[in-house]
Amino acid sequence: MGQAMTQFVGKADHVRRILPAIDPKQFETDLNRLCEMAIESGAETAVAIDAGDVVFNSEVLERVSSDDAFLSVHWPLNYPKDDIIEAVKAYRKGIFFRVTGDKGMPEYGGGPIRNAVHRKKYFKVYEIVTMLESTSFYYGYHLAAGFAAENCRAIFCAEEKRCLPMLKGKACIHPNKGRPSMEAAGMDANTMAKNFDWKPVENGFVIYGLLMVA
Amino acid sequence: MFDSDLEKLRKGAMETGADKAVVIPASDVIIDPRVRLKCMIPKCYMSGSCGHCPPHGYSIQEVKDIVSQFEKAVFFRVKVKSDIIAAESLYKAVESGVLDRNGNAFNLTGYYILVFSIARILQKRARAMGYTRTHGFAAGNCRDPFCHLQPHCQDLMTKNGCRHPEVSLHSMEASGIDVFLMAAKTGWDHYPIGGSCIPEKVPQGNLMGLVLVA
Repeated sequence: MGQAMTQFVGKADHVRRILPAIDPKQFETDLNRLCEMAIESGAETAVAIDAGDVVFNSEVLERVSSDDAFLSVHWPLNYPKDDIIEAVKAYRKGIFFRVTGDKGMPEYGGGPIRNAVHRKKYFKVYEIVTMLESTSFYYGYHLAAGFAAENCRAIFCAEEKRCLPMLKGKACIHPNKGRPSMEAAGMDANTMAKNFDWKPVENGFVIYGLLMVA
Repeated sequence: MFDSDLEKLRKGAMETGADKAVVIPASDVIIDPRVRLKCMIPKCYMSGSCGHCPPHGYSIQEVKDIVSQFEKAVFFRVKVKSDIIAAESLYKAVESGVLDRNGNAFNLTGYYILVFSIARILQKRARAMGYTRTHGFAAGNCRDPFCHLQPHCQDLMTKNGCRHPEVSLHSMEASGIDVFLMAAKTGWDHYPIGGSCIPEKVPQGNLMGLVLVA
């Protein structure tokens, strides 16, 4: 019963059969549609990227690990037995997007985020990631996996005393909403944005999200 | 291993409840690091709560090492009606931990037990034929079918090991085996099923298992 479940998104009215190989034309069409959907849902920019465009940076992960006031199972990502870089690089394509934040928004790192307006901005990134992930899954890209921003505990479990799955044997209380962030997986979203020549936005603050599609 | 013995095992899978079964070279088992990642993004409700499920269970490298020791495998499928496996009440039951009144969680658990049973029966029959080395993989998690009434997974939470080592198995997907793609390459129709799909839109559901034999 390990299938993906979602709460942010509506019912999937079309479910595609899993194919033995990806149809390149259909894949391109789907990637374009996913970018459009990200924009329609509130992203400022969204592009289809190659898995090779995902930049991993050990300094990002060190920063996340040292920001340990509000630890969660996703901050830093608990992935002890396997190699996250190997997994991400096994994808062909992803959708990289950004959402505009509020002027004067600080870098919250692992959180907590007390400002509800700011929290809502991060919430938007999780919402888009979840929607894209669910859509991709039912398009037949069954391994689609999304990465959001900051620490999901700061967004969804700010009032909880602890992140439950950090206790051995306990499950996440918001499994359908929480996602690991790009930085918690060691990804350098700022460098990726620079590599794509994304210009700064007017109010100066952006939040990044990533969906690895297939 | 003799072809006639493999055929007996394949037929054995069909006789004991599989609706399809094929003999494949072990080299056709698709191991992909993204599959274990997918168990955690979004977090499956059993992720972290069962000793056989990510981030626990076999690492990708361990599975590669296991599969490389075998020449052949029997890959089988148990068909499940979509109004059971994609039922809305099922997902509410999963989220609440309480069986649904429609009986879908109960029925689906029966199908999962069938997959474990077929895999174990095939292993036993292979051993009776003189093939002492076998390795079985089932579907989903083992905690729901065998330890639903227990407060925790004993293998994970204590040093006493699994309560049901004779019947329990790691699942294909929790071990990083891309069972969806293997089904598609075998020519079996398979659809992504999750909490957002509508049963009428999904032609069928499948649970699959694999038994490696030397």
